[in-house]
Amino acid sequence: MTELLARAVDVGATAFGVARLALAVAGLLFALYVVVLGTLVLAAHRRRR
Amino acid sequence: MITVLVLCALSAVLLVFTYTLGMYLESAGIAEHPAGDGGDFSVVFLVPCLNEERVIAATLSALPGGQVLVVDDGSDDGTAEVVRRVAGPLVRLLRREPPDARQGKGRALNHALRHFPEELLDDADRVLVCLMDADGRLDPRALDTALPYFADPRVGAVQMGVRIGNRTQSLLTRMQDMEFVVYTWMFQRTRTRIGSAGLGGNGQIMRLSALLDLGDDPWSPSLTEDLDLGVRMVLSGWRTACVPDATVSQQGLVSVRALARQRSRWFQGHLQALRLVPSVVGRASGRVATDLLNVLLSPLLIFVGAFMTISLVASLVGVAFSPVAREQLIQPVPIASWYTLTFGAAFLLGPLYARISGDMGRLRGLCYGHLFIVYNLVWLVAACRGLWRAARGRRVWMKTERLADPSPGPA
Repeated sequence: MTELLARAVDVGATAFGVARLALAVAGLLFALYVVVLGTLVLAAHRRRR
Repeated sequence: MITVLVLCALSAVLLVFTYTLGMYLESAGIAEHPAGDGGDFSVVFLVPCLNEERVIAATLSALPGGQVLVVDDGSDDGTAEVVRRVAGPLVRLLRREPPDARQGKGRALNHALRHFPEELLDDADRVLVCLMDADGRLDPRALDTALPYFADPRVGAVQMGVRIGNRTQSLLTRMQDMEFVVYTWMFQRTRTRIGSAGLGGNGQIMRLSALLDLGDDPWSPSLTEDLDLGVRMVLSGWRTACVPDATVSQQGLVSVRALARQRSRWFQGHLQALRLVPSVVGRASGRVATDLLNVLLSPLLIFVGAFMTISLVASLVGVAFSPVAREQLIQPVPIASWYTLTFGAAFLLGPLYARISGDMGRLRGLCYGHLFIVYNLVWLVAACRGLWRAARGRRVWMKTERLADPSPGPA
């Protein structure tokens, strides 16, 4: 029983880590989106000038 | 490093919310309608069909007066017979046979344009082509409301507001209706001010000269040929507008599976539209460039949402099993923050939908607003499926099956 509880706690801790990692990936993708959008808008602006 | 990226994710939510709020405020003013009745224009209705025997008779009967060109793209049901049976003198049926048929809606529409009456091509500035889906129903005032926009010679196309005719049938059709209303009344109205409103296929009116400006094949073979057409028209110097109070209704999908499939097709089409990015960079500038690039790159944002959802699910698992996670997350501030970040937009979208639909109070609208946030998870499924199909080079989709009439009703 104690072992089962310990395993459950491990699963919980891992899931918590995964949650943090997934949020980080979301942040990375968003940062990528902002950088790409900003770069392309800037390129469009410069090209028109 | 991870903490920085987590902060990026949070800023994503805040920025997207701010963008939505900006769109909401920008679109909150009273819509200005151009003067005039649009009586100087001839309207030709273009109705592409593929196995539409269930709906086409009612659609043709409901169209207002004017020439109608029905393009049967290789139907193997009774579509052609039904059209012949109900067709009046102004309805013309164009049949495409294999191997030319069923090569995509864009190719069928280009075929129709090549068979336009010569006399109309001579006066292309004053001829409008109204594209209707085979299940589309125009609101009786739709044309009177939309046509005056073409008095501005810079306007190349106008998109009507789309409603789901069978929106009261189920929660799923109600959510689809809400999706179109929110898109039209918040985002499209603001994009109209920029002159780059998106085109959506059904209830889409185009100036014939603007179509001809795009070459022999104005419609691309893409899965979202309407998205491509709108972008290319704007890049050719035309303005596109959306008229929310001119409405067209269409059938909503009644199964989640069919909905996910349809959205996967749209998502894959959106990915195909990325090839327009260099043209936008080369030919657009200012707010138009920003808007078009934002639209074209938006599939990436769906994946941001996907990872946030994974994070939420993993957090719930963590809370269920880990005392440390419980200690950190079961606190008033994290719960309130999560609720605000996840459902904050419901407080804008719900009341907006209640106001526009006019068949519910604000409280019910607010409930729908919350459900709408959950409903949008269908895009995650669609994005994964669309990406998978694109990666495998598969781009042939079965078309969406129609329901038997009488659905949809008037908008």
